[in-house]
Amino acid sequence: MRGLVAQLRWFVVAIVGTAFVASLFVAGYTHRLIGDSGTGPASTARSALPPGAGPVLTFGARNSVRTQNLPPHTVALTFDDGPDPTWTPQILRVLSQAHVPATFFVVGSRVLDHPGLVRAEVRAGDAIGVHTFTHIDLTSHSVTQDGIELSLTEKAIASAAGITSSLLRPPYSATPDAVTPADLARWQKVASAFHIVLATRDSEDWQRPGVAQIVRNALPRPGSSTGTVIMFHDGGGNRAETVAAVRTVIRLARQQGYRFVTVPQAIHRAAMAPATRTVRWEGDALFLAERIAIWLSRVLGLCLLLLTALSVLRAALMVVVAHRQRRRETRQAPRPLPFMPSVSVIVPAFNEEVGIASTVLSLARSDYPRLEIIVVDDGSTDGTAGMVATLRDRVSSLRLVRQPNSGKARALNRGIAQSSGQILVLIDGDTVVEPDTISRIVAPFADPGVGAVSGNAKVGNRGGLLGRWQHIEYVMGFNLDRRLFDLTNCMQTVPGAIGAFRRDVLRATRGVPTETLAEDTDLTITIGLMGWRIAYQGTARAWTEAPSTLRGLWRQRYRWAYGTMQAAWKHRRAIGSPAVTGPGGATTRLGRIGLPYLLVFGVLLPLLGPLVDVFMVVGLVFTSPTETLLLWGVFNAMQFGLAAYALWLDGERLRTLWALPIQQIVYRQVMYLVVVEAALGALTGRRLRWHKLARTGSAGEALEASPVGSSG
Amino acid sequence: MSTMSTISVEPPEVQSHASDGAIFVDQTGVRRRVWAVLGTTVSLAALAYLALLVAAVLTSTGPGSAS
Repeated sequence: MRGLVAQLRWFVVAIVGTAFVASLFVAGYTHRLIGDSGTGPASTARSALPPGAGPVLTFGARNSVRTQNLPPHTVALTFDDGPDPTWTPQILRVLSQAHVPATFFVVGSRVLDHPGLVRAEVRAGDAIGVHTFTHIDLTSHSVTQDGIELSLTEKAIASAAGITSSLLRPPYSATPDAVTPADLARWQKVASAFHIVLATRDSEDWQRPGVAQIVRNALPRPGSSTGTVIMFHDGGGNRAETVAAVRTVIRLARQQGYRFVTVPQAIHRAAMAPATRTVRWEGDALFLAERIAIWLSRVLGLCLLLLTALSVLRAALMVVVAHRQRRRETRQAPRPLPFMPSVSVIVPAFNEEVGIASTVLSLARSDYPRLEIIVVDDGSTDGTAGMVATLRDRVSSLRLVRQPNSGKARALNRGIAQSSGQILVLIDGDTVVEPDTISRIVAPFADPGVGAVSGNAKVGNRGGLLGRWQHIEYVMGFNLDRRLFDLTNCMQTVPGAIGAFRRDVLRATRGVPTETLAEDTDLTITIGLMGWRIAYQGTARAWTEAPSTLRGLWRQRYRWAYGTMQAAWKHRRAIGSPAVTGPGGATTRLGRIGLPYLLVFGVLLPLLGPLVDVFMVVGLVFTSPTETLLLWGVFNAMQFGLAAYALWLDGERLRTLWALPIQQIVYRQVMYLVVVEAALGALTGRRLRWHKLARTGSAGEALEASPVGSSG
Repeated sequence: MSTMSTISVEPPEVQSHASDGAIFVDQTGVRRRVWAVLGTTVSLAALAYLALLVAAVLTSTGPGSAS
């Protein structure tokens, strides 16, 4: 049943995600770079039409084409590329004042954006024609795409004005003597049901040659025995010259005795008709789908802009702050330890048979003199307790506490209750430390304001690709994020793998909290909100075993993400709260900085992450591939730079970076999906329990091979 | 010198662990039902939207009809 519920949850996500992606593609298609205004050549050496052919073409049976001229002394003003919210109303005003009708060849996607303008044109008695959906050159696209372009435009017109039109002006067409055989063949193939309306006079207003020139280009030739179709543009650019020229052309043509007509009036055809209910419904559906798509893409665009700005700011801040923190740490490092409190190391262990000996023995090799080691066997079903027992002759001050299986937090609390040290170091049962790790993690407690210290957890088993990815992630998380948190006093997680706490502080928190599955984050936030400073000590290294399978990684990260959300929810009232000064005199800024940071970069960014990738693909296909690739390149270069900087700070080899580009394509998306599932689990109230990861005891692998070795 | 000692702790008799990691957990089942209704509604809306898009595209293929 639980499996079915989980599958249904993903089904909902899949359906909603598909609808979202589809809407982005719709938005991308309808608002991609629409072809520029323009007309074809004035004439061609091999015109497909006979000399003197009329500007209106109608296709008949057996590939026949009939051309038609306008009656003498008539002028049909035609406007392409609209509707445009700035220029179309001005044109309409000029026409209305002169009581002149016109024919508007509209671009479908612009009709969807400004349906009211098309209605206004129809109300004014003007005719409407099709000018494709995105102003494409019909001859340079597939027959299928041409068909879609024409049909979508018809639907858009039907939705906007309740009519259909059989007039078509192909973009980039001009006068009849410029029609090539290829043009004619394509129009016949995709638009045989339309009247193709060309022009006899091309004003070339789209080139903005000046009002006088437009008027000269547009005016009917003196002595012409047929009527004139004049081509203007009411969209696709600044049409101020067109507005002025139209007024003059109307005045001069009238003086010469011309009568103004629409194209249907001129050819005596009922080119416009009320749309059928089906076509109107299809048009409304298209309009609705497009509106939803545009709205969603705008919201997402704003989110992306905000998140990009935050990410860049974060990266810049990290570089500056991490450098400062490292310098401070390096200055402090070589000093002998004047402060040497008693220390208890508590190791909770559940089925850690393969690795617990390495953990205990690494602690036994520690250079710290006053050390108590407590292993809490949390009801293991393997030989963990027996393995610890075999170490009794080799390790002094080792104690084993056994309890029925109660969970990690309760095991830690059991160990804390049994310990005696002033400082308590909590480490995982699959983690090994270097000889000076304890000395280094204890050093910051010399400052009475420090309540806890985060060590530097490093991936021990980094052989495979998964291990390398996690290695890079750990190094970035510890050397950039935690150094930033250290200097700004807003640490959110002292990791369970290696962390140290003042006993008084853990007494005040009543031990390790059990309400969340990220007990380390929960405990750290609790301590921070009490006003204790939480430091980061990068030189206190601990080598831990990372999941070696994708399934294991998914489980671990699911628990982390779910637990982080639980911790953030538990402490939600502290979000935005002012800085707190604690018992030791330190001031922490968790409410104003730490918790919002956790929500934005730990929850919100991963949740929106998949959409960012889809947005990039849409940008690549529909808008500007160069700009999109450039943006993607800049983002990856930033990640690369940050990773290289973090590795350098940690004394790691830079050659690991070869795995980073692949991480951006596979690993990142998996991590995003983990957070999505955790969020779904949290929203639907799913109970999550610890999943024990399979251990191989390989935590110390990299320690043995590491260039930083055991002393750092 | 070995100073190791082993302490076995008996299970707490009355203490329940039901609250462990319980934040977000739907104890009453009400939330599950609410989300079931909401999930169904959202899925249907998304499906309707997809159908709308598919219909718009399917009815737009082929030569222009000048209908």
